[in-house]
Amino acid sequence: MGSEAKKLLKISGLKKHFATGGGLLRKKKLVQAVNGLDFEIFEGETLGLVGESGCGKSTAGRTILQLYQATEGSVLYDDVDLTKLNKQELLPYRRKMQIIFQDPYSSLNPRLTVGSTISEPLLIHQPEMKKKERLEAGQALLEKVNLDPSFVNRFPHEFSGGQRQRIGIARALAVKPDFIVCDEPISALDVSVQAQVVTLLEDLQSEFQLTYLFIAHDLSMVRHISTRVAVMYLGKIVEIADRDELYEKPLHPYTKALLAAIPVPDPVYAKKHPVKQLEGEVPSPLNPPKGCFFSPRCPLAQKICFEQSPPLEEKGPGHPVACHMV
Amino acid sequence: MSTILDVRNLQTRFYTREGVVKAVNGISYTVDQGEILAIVGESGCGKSVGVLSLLQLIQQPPGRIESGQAFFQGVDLLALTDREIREKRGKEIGMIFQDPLTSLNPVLTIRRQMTEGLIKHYRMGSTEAYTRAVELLKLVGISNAEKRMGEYTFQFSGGMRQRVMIAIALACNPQLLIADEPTTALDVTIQAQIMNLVKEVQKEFGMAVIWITHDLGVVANFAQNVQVMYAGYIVEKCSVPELFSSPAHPYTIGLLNSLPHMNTKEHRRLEAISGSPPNLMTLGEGCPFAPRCERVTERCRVENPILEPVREGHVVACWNVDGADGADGADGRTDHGQ
Repeated sequence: MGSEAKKLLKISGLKKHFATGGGLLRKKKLVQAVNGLDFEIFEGETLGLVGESGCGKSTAGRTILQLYQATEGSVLYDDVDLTKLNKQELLPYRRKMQIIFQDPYSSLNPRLTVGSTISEPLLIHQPEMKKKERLEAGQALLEKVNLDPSFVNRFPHEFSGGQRQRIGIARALAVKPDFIVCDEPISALDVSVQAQVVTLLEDLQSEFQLTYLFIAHDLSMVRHISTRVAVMYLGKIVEIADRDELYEKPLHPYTKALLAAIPVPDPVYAKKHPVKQLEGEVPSPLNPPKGCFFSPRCPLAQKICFEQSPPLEEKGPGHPVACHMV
Repeated sequence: MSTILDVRNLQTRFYTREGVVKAVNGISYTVDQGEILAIVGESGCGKSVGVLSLLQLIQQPPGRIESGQAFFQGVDLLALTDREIREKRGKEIGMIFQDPLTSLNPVLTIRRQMTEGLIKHYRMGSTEAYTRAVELLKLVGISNAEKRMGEYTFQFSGGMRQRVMIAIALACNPQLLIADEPTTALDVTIQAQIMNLVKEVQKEFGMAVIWITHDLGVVANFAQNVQVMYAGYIVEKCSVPELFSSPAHPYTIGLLNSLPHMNTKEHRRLEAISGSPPNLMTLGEGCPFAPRCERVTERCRVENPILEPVREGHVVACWNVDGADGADGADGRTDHGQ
């Protein structure tokens, strides 16, 4: 995308905490799902957001879209802070930002025909549209995602997982968005179908100049689709870099460990680079460790790591890392 | 090496209200002592039902094992009575399931679940079984084992539960360990821990392992031999290096081409297999992969191919693999890569 690319979104100090438990006599606990994110998303790029389950990547995506109200911090879309807008003011931005969900089974209403599902966003964002126009728009969208336009009258249960995911994509495209959060769009799909959906997303991106935030835990697919990649650990970003730089010269010890743990589908490579394991488990976001969140599992940890949380700092051009030891 | 498991023409169907689901359609294979065999395929291809049938763990009805034999050390598992098969389960054949949360009992302590097999199969006393169980928990890397024996599953994380499952499966020193997607529900870093753990205990105990997965990365890193399943059939079987260097079945080739390569800078377009896996209720006469296959011919639509050798130790079920074509598979793969 180059350096001339325009910033579409600027996220600063974004936090999202959920209160949980609590009762008459018990104190509420805070799940610190997203714990201060700072990054930018450039127009036309695909930013991959990776991390293990529970690291807050989906929460981050939804908080950026204002589906969750941010606890702290700001989300600037074209220099407008979305967190400060009321419902009415937010509506035009809702049109610009859409989401594709992980589970193609639960994210489609089983009682709505595919046509109604796809054209429902138009009902809200373009209420002046006539019913017939909406139907035609729905058919055109189905064609865009390589499905038969005659499917508009069918119901979701008649479709396979991959087809449903295409319907979900068509729904997201209906209002001509600029930015789409893809929240693990392929992890529920069969391996042979994943590639279909990924190539479709790539084609649509170049056709409509879309910007993606691609959330996933499959690091090899993320390398394939992303322009840049951000790695999250326990609600914080630990490293952001251009795709090839991140995979070839990872700097943060967590990124290194994550990459070393992936079983590569190549027995020759596997022999030379056996899967390395990272000891321990991700701590609970209810009670994150002091200092650097990764310190209890980190092979490089020194005294300072257990006391101070490292800031996300540029350690190379366009390559911020949050680590004292880099 | 001697054969420990010999499965012949296993066929399992489910009789549901909507129709008959042909889950496993006559599969035959063998497992040697100390071998790690991976069974790979997509969801619904019959890989789990195939191994669950061996232990008669299919709910009957609606399920029914229509035909087949499965000789485990010379004894046909499918011909055993309930009482007899119970002697095999957990004792000679250990099993790890995909979801450690639902396969452990939430209202029993870890101790109860760990020692159950030992007390039942080996008539151990409670203290003796306890000592052995603590040893096993330590073996699978659970610290503070004595204290954790009194805890319940909800007090364990996903990775720790899977370790407990492995410890239970190993408790009676099985000769065969069946692992049904044991790492699918886990994160990659935990998956690496579990894979290395099973490798270690496999080396130590010398047992055979059947590892079911849909992840070709896991296959490449873990197994010696592999069989690919599609729609209830085994479509290809060979050693792991062979599968990746010269895949022969169009489905296998398609799967490999649809994977992104993590270690290269080049950005190639992924080659997707068109269509989706077939409905097992409406399987026709021909090759089940025919509707999605690029090499499809008239014969494929009417006649289902049988497994035939293309090379030493490499069998494929496809009408359109001749000797040269098999090697082309590998070339085809790199061609697509450019």
